[in-house]
Amino acid sequence: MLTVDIVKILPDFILKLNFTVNNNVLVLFGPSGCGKTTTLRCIAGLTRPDDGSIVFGKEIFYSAEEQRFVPPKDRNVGYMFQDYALFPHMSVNNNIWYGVKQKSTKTVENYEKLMALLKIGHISARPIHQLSGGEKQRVALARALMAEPKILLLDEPLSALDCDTRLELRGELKRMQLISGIPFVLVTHDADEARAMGGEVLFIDRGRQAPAPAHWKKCICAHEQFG
Amino acid sequence: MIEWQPVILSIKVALMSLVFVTVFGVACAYSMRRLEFPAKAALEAVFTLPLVLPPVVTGFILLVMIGKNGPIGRLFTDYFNTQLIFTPYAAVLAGTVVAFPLMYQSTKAALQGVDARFEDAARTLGAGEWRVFWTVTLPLAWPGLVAGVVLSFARALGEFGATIMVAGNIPGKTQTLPLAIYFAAESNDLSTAGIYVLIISGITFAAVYWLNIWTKTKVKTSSYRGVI
Repeated sequence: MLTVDIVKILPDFILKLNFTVNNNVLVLFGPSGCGKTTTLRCIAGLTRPDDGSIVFGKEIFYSAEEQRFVPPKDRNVGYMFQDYALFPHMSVNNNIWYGVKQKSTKTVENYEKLMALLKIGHISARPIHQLSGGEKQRVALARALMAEPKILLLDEPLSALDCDTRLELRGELKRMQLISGIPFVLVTHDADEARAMGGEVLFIDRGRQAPAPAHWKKCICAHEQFG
Repeated sequence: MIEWQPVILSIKVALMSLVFVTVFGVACAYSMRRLEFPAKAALEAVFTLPLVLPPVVTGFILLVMIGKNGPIGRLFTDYFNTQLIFTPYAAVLAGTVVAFPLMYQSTKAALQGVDARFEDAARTLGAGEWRVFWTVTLPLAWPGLVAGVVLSFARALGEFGATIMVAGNIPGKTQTLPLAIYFAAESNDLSTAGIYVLIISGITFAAVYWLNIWTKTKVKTSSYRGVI
């Protein structure tokens, strides 16, 4: 279980959130610039909160009280960036193996399983600039999961994709979550996506937890009518 | 028949300077990018100073530092029982100092062009700072670094003012190409000076020409295309 209780002073407002994630999907939903990405960065250790604590199981990632801050390399928290941040100077394979400390039969098995599940075996030797958006997304997911993270953070994982690819990959993300059995924390500003991921949803507005916005309910009604 | 010794010495001195310039230039630019401290702007100005100061001023400062009674000169006498001044190594020092700002500025610009997300991605994949630097930052900054190396080499090769202050003009020992040109011209040996001028111009032109061609093909076949 991941417990996040953080305060971070941002230029326009103060981010102050308190939530827990069990081994399922938590969606952080809110408008652009509401502090979602900052929250993910704090969990990954890329940004240091100003106060509070981040605890995963018995491991303290961050604690203001104990003056403890575990650097990102030691947290084993996977992070999928909004535009994937695949290393442009490496092939698909080198990207995917980057987070593996030592190649072993277990990691090779894991690699083959991921390549098959994500259907990217045929592009493994390609350079990154030859990939389509959907392929990049799959490679980024494979790269993050190859490092065997304890948590996976996903920043707008589907926003850069066209509609068909989005639907396909949404299903894949859910499946990968079930297979890996680790908590996924997903950030989105798209109501459809937030609902479709099927996990708990945390609404955020200007850095605080907020009630579900009006259009959220309206969307649900429309969804029910037509669905 | 011209004396080849200054040509060979110049190339040796420039290459040795290049080693120091590359190491210090990259190390300083990389540290300065990550650190924030009150005197940062002042220190950056100091790093750029050798580029804008007259080389003879830089040379004078170095002369005071490494001279027999200078702080660095005394260090060398005490610990290594030797002198730096008026040796080819003093020429290396002069070349290093005057070329440093070029390497520093090129590296700084190249590092600024590296998207921090790639480095962050590497960190979340378990890479420590050392690995992030060698596998992500450096390869992505590579074209800018190469430009810095070539410009620094050309600058160190042509160094005159600071070199003559600290290395002197000892034919066969510290007389580099630019010095040989100056003294040949002064003693009215214009044909020797002219040949030296052609040689140094040729080397410098070749280096910068190669850099331009290389940069062009790098951009053409760049694997970064379409990503940024």
